[in-house]
Amino acid sequence: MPTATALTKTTAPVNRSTGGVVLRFECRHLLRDRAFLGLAGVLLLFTILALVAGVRWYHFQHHAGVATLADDRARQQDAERRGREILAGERSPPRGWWSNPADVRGYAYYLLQVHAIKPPEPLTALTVGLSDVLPYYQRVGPGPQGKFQTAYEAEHPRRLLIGRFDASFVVLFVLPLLLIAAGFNALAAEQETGRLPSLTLHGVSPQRLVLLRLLLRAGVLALLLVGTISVGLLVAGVPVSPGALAVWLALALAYLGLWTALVLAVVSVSGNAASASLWLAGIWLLLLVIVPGLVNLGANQLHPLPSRAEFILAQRQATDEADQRRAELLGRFLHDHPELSGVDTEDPVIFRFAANIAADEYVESEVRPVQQRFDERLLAQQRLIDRWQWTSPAIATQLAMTDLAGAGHSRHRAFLAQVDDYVADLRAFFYPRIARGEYRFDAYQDWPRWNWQPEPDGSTTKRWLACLALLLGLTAFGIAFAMRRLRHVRIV
Amino acid sequence: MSTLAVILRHELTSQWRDGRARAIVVIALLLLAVAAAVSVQQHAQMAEERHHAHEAEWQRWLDQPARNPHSAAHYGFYVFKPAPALGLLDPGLDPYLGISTWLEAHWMNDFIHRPAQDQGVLSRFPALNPAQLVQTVLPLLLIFLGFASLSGERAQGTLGQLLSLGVAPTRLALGKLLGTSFWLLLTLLPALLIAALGLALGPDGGEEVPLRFALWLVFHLLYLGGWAVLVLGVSARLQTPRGALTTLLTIWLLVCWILPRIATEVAAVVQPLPSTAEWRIDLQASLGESHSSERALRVRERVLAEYGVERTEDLPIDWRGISLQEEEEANYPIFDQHFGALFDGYRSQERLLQQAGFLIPALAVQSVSQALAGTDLTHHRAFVFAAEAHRRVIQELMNHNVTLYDREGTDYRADPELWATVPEFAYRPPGLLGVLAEVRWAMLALLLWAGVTATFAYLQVRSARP
Repeated sequence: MPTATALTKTTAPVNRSTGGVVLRFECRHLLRDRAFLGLAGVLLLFTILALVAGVRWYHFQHHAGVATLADDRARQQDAERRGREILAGERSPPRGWWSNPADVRGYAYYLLQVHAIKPPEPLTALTVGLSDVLPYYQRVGPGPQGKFQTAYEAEHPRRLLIGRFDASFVVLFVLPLLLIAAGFNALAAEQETGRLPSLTLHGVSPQRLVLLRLLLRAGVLALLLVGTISVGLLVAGVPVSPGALAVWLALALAYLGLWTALVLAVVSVSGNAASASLWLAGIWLLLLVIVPGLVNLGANQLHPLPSRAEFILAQRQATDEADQRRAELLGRFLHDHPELSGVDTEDPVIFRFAANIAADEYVESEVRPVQQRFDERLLAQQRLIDRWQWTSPAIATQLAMTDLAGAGHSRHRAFLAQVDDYVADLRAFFYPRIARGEYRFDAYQDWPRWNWQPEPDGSTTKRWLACLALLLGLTAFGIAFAMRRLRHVRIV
Repeated sequence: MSTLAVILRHELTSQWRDGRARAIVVIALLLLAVAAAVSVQQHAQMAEERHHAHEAEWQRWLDQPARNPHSAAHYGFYVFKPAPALGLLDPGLDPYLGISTWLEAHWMNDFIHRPAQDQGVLSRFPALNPAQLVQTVLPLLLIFLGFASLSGERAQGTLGQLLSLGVAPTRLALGKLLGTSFWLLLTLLPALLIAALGLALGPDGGEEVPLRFALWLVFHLLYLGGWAVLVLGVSARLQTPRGALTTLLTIWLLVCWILPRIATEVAAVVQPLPSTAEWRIDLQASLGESHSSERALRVRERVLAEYGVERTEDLPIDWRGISLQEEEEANYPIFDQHFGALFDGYRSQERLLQQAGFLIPALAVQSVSQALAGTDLTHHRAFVFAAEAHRRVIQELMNHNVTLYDREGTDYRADPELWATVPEFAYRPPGLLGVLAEVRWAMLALLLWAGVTATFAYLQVRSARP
């Protein structure tokens, strides 16, 4: 019996026409391969399901934002109408200032309903990311912001725990499995049926056969994925930018390419199909479950977040202190705001409301360091995850896709920063009026409006380019390794 | 030595000699043990933080200076959801629910600060906690260990030899099953010991904890037992180890990873929930109606008539106290209805997911695990409404004091002793029987899973041919 090396050496040189014959043969074989057609059908079905779920989520967020703004507008118009009627003497003012829209205190603290909205990016239809966990709108006002922290979506928490069936999930988790199922016996099938020696004698090298077989299958899956997603988004009317979609699809294809290389590599070293499938299932588990879990665990252990309970306690403590030091805090506040000189602090009503403003500012200044500690730890966790993302291509791809879809912390941080700026604008408008005791209010159209500023184009470029480079580099390495191994494969 | 013992010994020896199986067992054992240790440490810290915060808030309430009772009602206090003892095994839904709520006048607040909100993108990958590992990774261990148990013997031609020696196929299969079970229990044992130690040394979680722990273990063993016999049955049914492995991996991927996500999407479509924005708009509209001046006037007329006076100033009590309490009481049914409807929506989805557990046992075991750990929606709902009930007690006491002692135009401040008349908030989680009733579909699904897989395996093994 000739050795593998001997047989490989006696193999006839592969020429272009042999390659063409093999390609045609493989194409015909593929069309008759019911198992593969079934897998392709599964991908089609799952991609459609994921698109439906993702598009529903995008529209859900969009409509929730629209409904919130409409409700805000209706309440603002109602307050304005009632306020103008009171000012015109057509309606008697209510007993308490808190329900009087013609009193700046009532209007600013109780009747002004305004929400800061973070509009969903169209790509959230493909990558839900953290967009279902992080609030996407927030009630704001000039008063203390602590009471406005509760803008969570009314999702069943189990849906949040299990995760969304979005296109990212299909790409990251399902696509590799389909490829594994399609290719784990790419070589073993020929070995076990005994066709490999005769194919080899006809000039078909194992490398070319396996590579062609896997690339063909991966190509069909890629075409299905790209076609379904592109057509699906078009039909669903999601206003996604072609450039962003192209990058998302490039990431998906590069990830598929990497798994093709992985399957090739495992097939090249495994003795049989069972062993290959066992190894590939193990690698899938390692890269998709164990490594991300361990990196997350490590990030949480190395940079643990302070307790949110501590945050609440700090807020309460500061409130108590502010209550006891109202006069002192007001003095300091007026010193820091020379534009408010002349405020009559002898007037008990003016003192009360001006001191409230000073107290609120004090509480926020006391809580800010605790919040900063949260933000710093979260950033430290993120940096650690960024450093370790290469340990699993799934982590790198998920991070890149989430950033691209604006569904992660980066865009959320930008949103919160804009909310802070907006609250400062509202305060700059209302506080001087309240502090000076100019309570009559008719400037319903003049207070600043929320205006979301999208992140500049290219803010995610670095991340997705790095991810693409990682995926393509690993793919090239995997294919080179597999080709080298396949040169020494046992033919008989 | 009986035939069974011989088979078992052979099974254990051959699996131990197989480096691949040994590596898988060691990796799973280490993963589980590390997950359990980290979980115990994090859980103890969380429990301590919440307990400390609860104590601090309660003391803050008691230490208030003399002030108007309505100001005190607005000051209120935060209550913190205690970390349930078995949360160290299964954090369940807790990361996706708020940890605290503010009990204040007029308003039933939401729970705020979801831990998941402070997590990065990796939190959307499966978490490495003991429950998750047992529910999703250990079935794979069973597949790796058992896919070739009978199909391998058949492929090597040894199955025929064994049967010709008079070894009953069921006895052979039982030996193999016991061998796999041994490795499974060995993998589980360190993690269980760590968890038990964490429970014993941690804060007292209540008298039900040992029973809940035992039931948690029983249902997980039932679930894993189902997997073990399924692996055996498929291995007996299919001719080649490759066929058995491919089939089992497909089932595992569908059951543990893909179908649960599809099921939650389907549940959200079949039993849709309103967006929070719509829900809040509805709630505010209902509260606005209840605050109508007509209603206030009606109450005022009634009180004036009751005391036989014409002006609120002539009442022997303070009108504002009555008005505040009337307003609170008018809002109670509105809060009950809106929050209740939201939780009913969750419950409907939960029931669907439990029923989906008949096809997807991973969903069923997740439901039972979270329920026993006290990290499911039933426990959260109980806490939310217990907190609300306590808020109402505070309002009643404060408004009653305003009614009796406050007078318009005065700067009334209640003596700090009033704060101590409010009972300390003490939450008792729902009893075990009630909790189990909520997950009856899931428990039934798990029993059925174990029964069907065992029957399938028995039939396949009994008719196994070389």
